[in-house]
Amino acid sequence: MIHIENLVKRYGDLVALDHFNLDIREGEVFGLLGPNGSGKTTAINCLLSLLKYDKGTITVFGKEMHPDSYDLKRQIGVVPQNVAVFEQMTVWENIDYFCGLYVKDREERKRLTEEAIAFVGLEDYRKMFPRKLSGGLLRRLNIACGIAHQPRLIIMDEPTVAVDPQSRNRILEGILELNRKGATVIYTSHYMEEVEQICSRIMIMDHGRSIAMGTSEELKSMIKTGETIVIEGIVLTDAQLKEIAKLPHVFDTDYNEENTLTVKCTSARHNLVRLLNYLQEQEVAFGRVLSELPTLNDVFLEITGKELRD
Amino acid sequence: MRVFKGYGNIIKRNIGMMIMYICIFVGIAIVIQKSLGDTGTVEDFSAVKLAVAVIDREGGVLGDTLKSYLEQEQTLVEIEDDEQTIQEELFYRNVRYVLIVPQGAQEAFENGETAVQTIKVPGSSTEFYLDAKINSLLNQIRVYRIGGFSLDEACGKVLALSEHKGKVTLLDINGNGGQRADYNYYFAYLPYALLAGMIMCLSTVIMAFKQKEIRRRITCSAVPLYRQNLAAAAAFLIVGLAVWGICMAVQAVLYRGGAFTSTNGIWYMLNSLACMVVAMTLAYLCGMLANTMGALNGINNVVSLGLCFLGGIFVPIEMFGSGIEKAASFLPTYWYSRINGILGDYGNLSAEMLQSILKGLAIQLLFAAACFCVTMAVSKVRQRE
Repeated sequence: MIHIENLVKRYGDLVALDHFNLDIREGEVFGLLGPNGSGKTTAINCLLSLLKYDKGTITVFGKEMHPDSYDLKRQIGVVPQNVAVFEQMTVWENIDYFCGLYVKDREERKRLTEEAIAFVGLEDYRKMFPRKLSGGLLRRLNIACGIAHQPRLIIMDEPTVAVDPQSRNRILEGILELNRKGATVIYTSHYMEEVEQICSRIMIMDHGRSIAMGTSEELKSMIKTGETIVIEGIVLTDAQLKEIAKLPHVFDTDYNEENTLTVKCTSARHNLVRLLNYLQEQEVAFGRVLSELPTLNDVFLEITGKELRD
Repeated sequence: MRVFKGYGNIIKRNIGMMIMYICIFVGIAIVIQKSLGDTGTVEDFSAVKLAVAVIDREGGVLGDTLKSYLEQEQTLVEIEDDEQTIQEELFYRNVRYVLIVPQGAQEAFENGETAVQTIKVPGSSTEFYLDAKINSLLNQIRVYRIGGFSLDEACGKVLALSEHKGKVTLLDINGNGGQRADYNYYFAYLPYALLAGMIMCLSTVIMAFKQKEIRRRITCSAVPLYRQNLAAAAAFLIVGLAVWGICMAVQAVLYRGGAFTSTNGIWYMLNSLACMVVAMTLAYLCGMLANTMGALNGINNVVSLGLCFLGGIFVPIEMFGSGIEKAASFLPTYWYSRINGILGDYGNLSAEMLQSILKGLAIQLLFAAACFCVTMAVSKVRQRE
């Protein structure tokens, strides 16, 4: 559905996209994950022909994308990062206006506007002006304006920034609903939990390049860490710490001044049981025990050596 | 069509502001027209008569002639021949001019010397006026004397001549007895309403549409850029024409037909239409430059009030120095005001006046075109940002 090949975009000396490649299949919820400045928005802007690029090709629905590819643009919906609605128009007028940029028929537009209002749950606010809406409701209006014309491809650029948890859940459920109805979704975010929750495939970007791509599980399997065990309130001797480091499948240990032990193990069974058995044998007392499976942040950390939110 | 309707929707929300500006303007125009315009028409002429005292210490024919001559055109006042009294009368402006015919005045006159003395308010216009009158009379007597007439005969002839009065007829050059028509005052102040109203109303719309994210969203849509620009231009043009039409209708109602009844009506229309075009392009530019409503208010006040003051809309440009007038000639309001002045002062326009009006209209439209080009440049820069 979307094919990007060897895309290069430079801002002076800064290379925003460095031979960037991307393939998205129809019906996917595709996540673009990366820290701020990694090139996510630049890639989206190039895809939408909002930015000229220096090199490469972009194909959407099998056709090359140009600024005047209005037949392609008609099938794309965009939900920008910042709320982009008119303060002077009501909720209904805003959705109707943006839907009207794609749909000429008045009756159809009216129907689509009503459907979009119902979809984001703004039925009670249709005559209200945006300044009267809360942050969460504004985000929902922002989404409704982007999806009202029921596009084949929806591009969502961090739509949940500064949104309360309740609205965030509603937005994420809405995205999955849109996908179930047949829309392909490109979702950019630096919130790894969200991406993990809704995306069928994920690309991790850094410095304008794709550093890893696959399903959440595939990405996690790329790294050494299979399980991270944290034990709080534990007092250990140096000898005991050395013994723990020698346990099977343990490849890294850390014991800090707050008496917290962190043990990293490769993907294997019974790592926690083995560790707890050893502590019992040594008659070591301890507090809370946490066992964490790897996150996308661990993937990013292991590949780039830095946190995703750095 | 949808983009056009979008502009329409936002303009609709600002129409109240526009109406407020027109109401304020109409109120101001009526008040000013009532205070300046209702002075009646000038149909008659009479020369100003000044209070003059003649003290004749000699009692000869020369003194009598001067007295009789001054009596014809001025008001003679009797005062005591006393230096302190004369000074007091002049100080309190009971008399404007005191003519003293001293002893031996006739002899001095015959010898070609200064024959009379005067005491007057120094530096006043009456001083020069009456000095010139008296000198003229004495010169005429002297001419007759050189011609061989006796002093009595010469004085008699000059007095007889001065009794012949010319008839003064006032030309009604603008068809309103020399007074500017009431609606001319309305048109004189119209630029402020157009500038302030249009900037406030249309710039707000431009500001709404130029927001980065909205611009981005519209650019991503299936509406080509040329159609978006066309829709914006059409919306602006319709609003501009509607506001102009309302202003024309208001003056027609207020002044019983107003400019529509004038032979110069078409020029009033064209001048105000050119001013509207200028107001629209300035509104476009201001909308591009301002980022907040506060900034827009500030820009609006500076632009509309500045153009109106410097262009001679509120205060006649002649009251400023020639340097300011020269600078003002670059402003469209200056040319608007000049055209309105010509239309107010003259009923039938000469070829020269028509040329001047056409030049003024062309300069206003050129200013609008320049403004539009600057706006396009600003828009390009903003888009790159």
